[in-house]
Amino acid sequence: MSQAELEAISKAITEGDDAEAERLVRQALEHGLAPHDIMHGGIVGGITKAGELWKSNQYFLPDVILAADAFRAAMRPVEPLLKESRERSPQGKFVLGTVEGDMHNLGKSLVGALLTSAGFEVIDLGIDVPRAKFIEAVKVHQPAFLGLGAYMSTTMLQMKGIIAELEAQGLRRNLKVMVGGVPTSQEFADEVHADAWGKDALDAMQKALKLRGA
Amino acid sequence: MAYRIEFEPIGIRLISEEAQTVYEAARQAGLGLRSSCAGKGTCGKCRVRLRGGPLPPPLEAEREHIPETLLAEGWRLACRTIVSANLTIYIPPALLDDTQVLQTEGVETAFTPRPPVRLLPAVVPPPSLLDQAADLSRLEAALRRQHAVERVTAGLPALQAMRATLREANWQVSVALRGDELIAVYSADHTRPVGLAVDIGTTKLACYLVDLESGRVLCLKGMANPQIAYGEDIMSRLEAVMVNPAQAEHLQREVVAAINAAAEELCAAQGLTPDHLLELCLVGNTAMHHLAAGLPVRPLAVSPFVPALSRDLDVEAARLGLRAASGARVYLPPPLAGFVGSDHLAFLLASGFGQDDRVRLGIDIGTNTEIALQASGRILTCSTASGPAFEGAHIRQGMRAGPGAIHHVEIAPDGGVACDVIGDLPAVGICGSGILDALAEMLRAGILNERGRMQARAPGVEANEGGPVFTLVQAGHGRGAVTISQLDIDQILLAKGAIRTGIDVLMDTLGITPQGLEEVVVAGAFGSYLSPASAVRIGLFPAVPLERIRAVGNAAGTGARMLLASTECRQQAGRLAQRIEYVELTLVPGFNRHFARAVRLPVV
Repeated sequence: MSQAELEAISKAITEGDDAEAERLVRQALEHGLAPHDIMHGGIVGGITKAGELWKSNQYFLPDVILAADAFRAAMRPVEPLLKESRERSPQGKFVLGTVEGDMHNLGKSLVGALLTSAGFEVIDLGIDVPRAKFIEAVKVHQPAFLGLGAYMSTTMLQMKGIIAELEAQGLRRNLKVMVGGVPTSQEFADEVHADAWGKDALDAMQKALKLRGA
Repeated sequence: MAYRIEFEPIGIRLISEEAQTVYEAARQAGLGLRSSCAGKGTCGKCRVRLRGGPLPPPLEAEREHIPETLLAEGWRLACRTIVSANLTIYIPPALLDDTQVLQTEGVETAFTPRPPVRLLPAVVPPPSLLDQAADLSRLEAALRRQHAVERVTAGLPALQAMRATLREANWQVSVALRGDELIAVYSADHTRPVGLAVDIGTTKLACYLVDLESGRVLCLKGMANPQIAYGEDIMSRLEAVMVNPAQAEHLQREVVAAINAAAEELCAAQGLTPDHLLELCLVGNTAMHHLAAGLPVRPLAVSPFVPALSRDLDVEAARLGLRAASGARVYLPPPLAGFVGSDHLAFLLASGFGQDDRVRLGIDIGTNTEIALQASGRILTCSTASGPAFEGAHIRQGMRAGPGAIHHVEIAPDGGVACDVIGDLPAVGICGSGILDALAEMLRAGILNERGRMQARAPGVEANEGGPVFTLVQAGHGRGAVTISQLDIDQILLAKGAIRTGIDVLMDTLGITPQGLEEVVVAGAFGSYLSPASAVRIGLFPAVPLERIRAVGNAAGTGARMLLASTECRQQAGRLAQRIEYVELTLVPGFNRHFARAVRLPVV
């Protein structure tokens, strides 16, 4: 019975039905399923499947967007109940944000969803994030990764400064920094001294896992 | 190499740099030609006569429809024959499309020209020892006597130029006045008040020499925006300025130099010089507006994207480096938002927004597509980043509309693909309207599913390293095949999705359904070429009855012209700008859902 419930949650997420996904998760919680099981047995499977369909060209961007939305909706009731961070995210913490002056949310949300499915604990600082806020988040959360997103060629220019500031404050050493967003490139990533560049959300997830040694 | 075409008997001149069919050249000049076959060369009705230049040899379709004797006299089919040299083209008035005739000749009726500058003849008594009144005073007195002008003021540049002119012209002059401000003085034989209207597009500039009394276009020229050297799109130009603030000045100089060069050519074609330009009007998207005016652009480059002003600007032309009459001014209508400029306002003005209460959707398709919806007494507008896919960019075999480009595609029930190529040449690529058709036909034929995924087993689809590929034209005639790949389809879907999202959000906000749209007005070059049926089929446009969709060509240019020649239009535009409500799409809740739905293809 619980297996069927978990499969239904997974399906709702893959199909991008956010209302249904959230409803099923709440229902599963009421039926006494453990939050951890719901997350790893149902939710993660759903978004991972969406990622696979995207990779095999059966899903296109909007399908993935809807799946990511459904993933977020499903996580809402479960997130506050998940216990130890190490238990739920073996890959460690990943702080994510879109740089200052940039309002784009979509790409970052997709990255966040896929990273969570891959076992990272994602701390999403949101959009239009000033440099100081990134630095503070790194100090407070001490993440393994920092991801910077910029979706306009005018805002991506800031990434260099953010990374330099991390360096200046002695925060760079134990941190892996990844950059991404439509106007960015491997060349750009090299220029700003990032550790990796994510071509799209899938690529970002795969590279993060690789850097983790997974 | 620029060439000049004179269209008779309507009397419009076009200066162009690209080779194109007469049909397209006419369209560029604002003239639509009737066609029973949508320009495919099968009805043989678009006969025009070429003279005064090298006659292109007749093409097959022309030999089929036009007798030998007439071919020898220079008759050709407008939709087939390509022009690229100076020519005079006679277009039989019966061939002109009704609405276009109204647009050009009916300009006088479509709006009331109320020129900002008048040219008044004046006979000024010369000074003498008995009458030592200063030049400006005697000029003013003459105008008072002869035209009931109360007073005349003058700025320094006008005064400087006036002194010699009065004496050279032997005190018989034509005086250009803007209200009571002296703009320039000419010798009495100059009686034609002219001005320059410019639509500064990101990619192309359109310059119109306008008769200020009638509002008619005397001559027009389109050319590439030289700022392209600093970046193809707005964001990359803004980025260049952010990286190096000195670039702003270069960008300003480049565009002004291009306008000055065009002004010189256009004036020369009318036997005039830029010194005769009494007023200019510039429209463009907000970044273009700010760069041309020398306004700081950094705040446009990052959120929250605010312009310096949302009112009109009135500046001495010389201040911006523009060549014109000594005291001439430039009028810049208000930008509406960071990414919605005065060109959009001009388009709306020229398309009737704010003048009636018809439920009207306006779409100006370009790298940025601006959308406006008028309904229930409100006018909403938004901007979408559609990208250059509809101009052929980022499409492997995509190209601009020009000779060799597939512009129309049909797939027969047996799976056979028929393509029409501009200039009737072997196909070398596909342009925006062709890509649109291809998508629509592939969807209709079941080659694409509603996710836009190519079906591996469909006829014409081949597997390839980079993904499935559909063949439009087989290799042959010494040229390779023209194909369209899954990645190409994806680019178009994203572009279409962006545009449709903007449309859906506005329609949703005002509670309008597709059936409720009374009119859909499409501007931009692409808008003139696309097939409305294909646009509806792929969901670029909502499912409106096709007869409600009309292309208006460069309506921003028409609007610029109206704003140049009529102070009443300027007031109208000011009121319209106040009424327009800008919708910031990034703030719309459920944007993701709208976008996801908009990218999908409608169910067949």
